[in-house]
Amino acid sequence: MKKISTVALYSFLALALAFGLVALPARAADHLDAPLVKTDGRLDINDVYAFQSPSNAANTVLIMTVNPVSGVLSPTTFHPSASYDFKVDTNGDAREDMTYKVTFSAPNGSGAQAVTLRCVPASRCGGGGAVLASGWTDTNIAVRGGGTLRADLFDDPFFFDLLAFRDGLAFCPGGVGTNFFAGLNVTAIVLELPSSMLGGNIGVWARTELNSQQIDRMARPAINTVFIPADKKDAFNFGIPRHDQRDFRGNVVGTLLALGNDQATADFLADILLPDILTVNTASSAPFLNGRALANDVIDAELSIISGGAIPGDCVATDSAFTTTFPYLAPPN
Amino acid sequence: MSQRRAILLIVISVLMIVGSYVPNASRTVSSPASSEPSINIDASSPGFGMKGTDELIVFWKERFERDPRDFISLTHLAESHIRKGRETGDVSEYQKAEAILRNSLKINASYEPTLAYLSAALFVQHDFSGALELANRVYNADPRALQALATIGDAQLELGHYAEAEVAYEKLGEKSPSAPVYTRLARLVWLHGKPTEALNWMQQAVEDSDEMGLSGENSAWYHFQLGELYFNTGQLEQADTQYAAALKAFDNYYLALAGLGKVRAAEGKYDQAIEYYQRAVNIVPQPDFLAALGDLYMMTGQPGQAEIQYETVEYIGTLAALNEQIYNRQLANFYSDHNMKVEEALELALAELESRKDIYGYDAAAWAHYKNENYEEAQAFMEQALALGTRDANLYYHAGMIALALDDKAQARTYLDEALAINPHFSILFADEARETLRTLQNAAVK
Repeated sequence: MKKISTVALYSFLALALAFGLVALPARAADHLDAPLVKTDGRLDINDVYAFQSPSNAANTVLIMTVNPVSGVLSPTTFHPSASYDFKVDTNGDAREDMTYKVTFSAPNGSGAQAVTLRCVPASRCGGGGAVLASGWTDTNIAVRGGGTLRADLFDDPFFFDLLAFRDGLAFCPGGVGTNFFAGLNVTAIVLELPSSMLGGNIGVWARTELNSQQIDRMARPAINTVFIPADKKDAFNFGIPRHDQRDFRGNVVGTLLALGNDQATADFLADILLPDILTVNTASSAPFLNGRALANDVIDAELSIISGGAIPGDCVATDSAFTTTFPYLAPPN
Repeated sequence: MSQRRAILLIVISVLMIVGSYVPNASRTVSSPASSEPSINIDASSPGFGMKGTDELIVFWKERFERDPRDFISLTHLAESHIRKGRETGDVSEYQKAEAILRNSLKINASYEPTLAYLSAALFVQHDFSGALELANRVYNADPRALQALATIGDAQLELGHYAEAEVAYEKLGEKSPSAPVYTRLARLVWLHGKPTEALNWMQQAVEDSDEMGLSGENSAWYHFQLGELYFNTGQLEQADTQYAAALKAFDNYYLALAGLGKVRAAEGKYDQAIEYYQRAVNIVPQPDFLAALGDLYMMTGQPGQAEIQYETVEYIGTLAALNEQIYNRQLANFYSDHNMKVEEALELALAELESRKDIYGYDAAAWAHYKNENYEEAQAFMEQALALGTRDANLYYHAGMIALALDDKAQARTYLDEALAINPHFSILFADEARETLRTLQNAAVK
C-alpha cells in the first residue's frame, strides 16, 4: 500500500465532498435499511377490457392490464408462480363456466418469459385443460381453435384525472382535466378468441391467483376503488362475483347515497354495479356498459351514472394511439 | 486539538457551508465520471426495462413540474430519494425526501402513501419513535398500507420490542410475500437465534428480487445482505460469491466492496482487504468501514494510516446533529473496541439505551461498561443482550470477555468457544484475541 500523506488524504476528502463523490454517510451498521414494501404490481390488476374485435367481428378481445406504472413503480414482468385468469360466465348466474388461464415461466436472461394458455374445465373447453397456446412474451402467439395471445409491455390505455378524484372529486378545474395516466406503461395480456368459443351474451372478470389463493379480481372499472371502504378492499379482491350482492351491496348503496342519490336510485344502481362482472354481447360493437373497449370513456359514463348527471365527467379523453389490429394497445412510452 | 484534526474540521465545515448554499451542486449533480458508470450498469444488468434511481428522480420531478397539484408524483419523488439515500449512503437524500413529503402533505394531507413514506423517512434518520407513531396512524386508518406496516415492524425491532415486531412482520408476510418482506423475516429469525432459517428467507428474497427483474442497487442490496448472513455464519466462500454478485449488479457498490474487504481480511489477505475498504470509504466514508480499514492498517504495521481512519470515524460520527443521532451507537462501540475515550463510550451507549432498548443497545452498554471495568454492570447488560439467543459471534465474544473479567473461567470458555464456532472470522481485531484467550484458558484448565 503506498503511503498517502495526511494532508493529501484530507485534500482528497475535501475535493471528494465538494464534487459529490463522497456523500455524508447515511447508513448505520446496526440496522437494516430494508427496501420499501409495496403491493406486488405483477398481481395487481389495473383494468379489464372485453370488446368485439375491430378487425374481425366474429372475434372477441379480452384484455387485462397489470403492473401499474410499469418499469417505474412495478416490474415489467409477469409473476412466474401466478395464474392470470379470465373468467367467463355464459349463462348469467355470476359463476364462471370456463376459465382461460395464462401462466409464465421465470424471465430468462433478457427478460423474456414463456407463456402458456390453458382452458378449464375440460367439459366446457373442448379438449380443455390442454394447452391452447404457448410461446414467448412480446410475440403474437396463435391459439388452437383460432385467435391470438400476446403478453407484453404497452402504453397504459386507462385515462382519468386521478388527482382531481383524490382532490375531493374536483373535476375539470377551469374546464380542463389532466390524464394522470398519460405517458405511463402497463403490462397486458391480450387474448383474442372466436366468439363462438365464448358464447353470445357473456359475463367476464379477471383475477390473479398465487399459490391457489386469489390476490386480485376486477371487472368493471373502479368498482373497488370508488365504492368499497379501505377496510373491505382486500375482502373485495379476495371475493367472488356471486357473493358480491351479499357482501358488498351495503357499501355500494352507502357510497351512492353519499354521492347524493335517493334510496331508490341507489338500490337500482347497486343492482347494476353488483355483481362486479363485465357483461358483453359478443355480437355487438356497442360501447360500455356493453363490455368495455379501449377508447370508451368509462369514467365519464360511471361518474355520470352514479352522480345522477351531476358530474358529467373528468374532462379527460384518451391520448393513446390505439390500433384497429391486434394487439390494439399502443406501444409503450 | 491536533493539527490534523483542525485541518479536517475546517475542511469539512467549509464544505458543509458551501453545501448548504448550493445543495444541488454538492450532491445531486455529480461529475459525468461518477454518474456514467451507474447508468451503464442499469442498462446492462437484467433490469428488464426498470428505471434506475436517477431516472426515477427525473421522471417524477418532471411529472410534478408539469402539474403542481401532483402530490402523487411528489410522493414518489420522495420515495426515489429514500432509495437514492440507501444506494449512495448519503444522508442528505433522506432529509430531501422528508422535506418533499412535508411539501406534498400541504397539497394533500391525507394521502396514505405520503404519510407512510414520511414514517419511513423518519425511520431511516433513526427517529424510531416518531416513525412508529406515524406508521401506526396510517396503518390503523388503512390496513392495506403495507409500507406503514413494514415501518411499524422495523421501528418496533429497533426499539427492542421484539414481540410487537414479530406480530407486524407476520402480518406483512401474509399480506405481501415478497423480497422486502422476506428480508425482514430473515432479520427477525436471525435475531431469535435461527441462522439457518434466516439464510433460507434471505435466499428466497434474492430469488424473488431476481424474478422481479430488479436491477442496480435494488438487486445488489439483496445479494449483499445474503453475503452478510453467510459471513456472520462463517461461510466465507458463499459470502464472497454474494458480495461479488452485488458488485456485479451495481458497479462500485460501497457495501459490496467493504464485504469483499471483510472476506479478504478473514482470509489473511490484508493488502487486498485494505484496497477494497479504501475503495469503499472513498465512495462513502462509512464509520464502520473506516474503523475496519484503520484496524487493517494497524495489523499491517501502519499506525499513521490507522490513526487517520480512526480520526475520520470520530468526525463523521459527530459532524452534524443527524450524524450523531445515526452514529451514536457505532461511535460508542468504536471507542470501546479501540480503548479510546471509554467514559464517553459509556455515556453514549447509556444515553441511547434510554430511548432504544434493543439487544445491540444492551451489548454496546455492556461492552462500554467492561471497558470501564464495571464488570458486574457489564454482565447484567450482557444478559439482556443475549436474551433472544441471537447467534452473533460478537455478542458471545463480549460475553466471554466479561465472564473472564469476573473470573468465571468456565463460562468464559463456553462463550468464546461459541463465538468462534459461530464465525471463526467474526472480527479483524478480536477473532485472534478470542482464540488466544481461549488457548490460555484451556492451558490453565489442563494445568
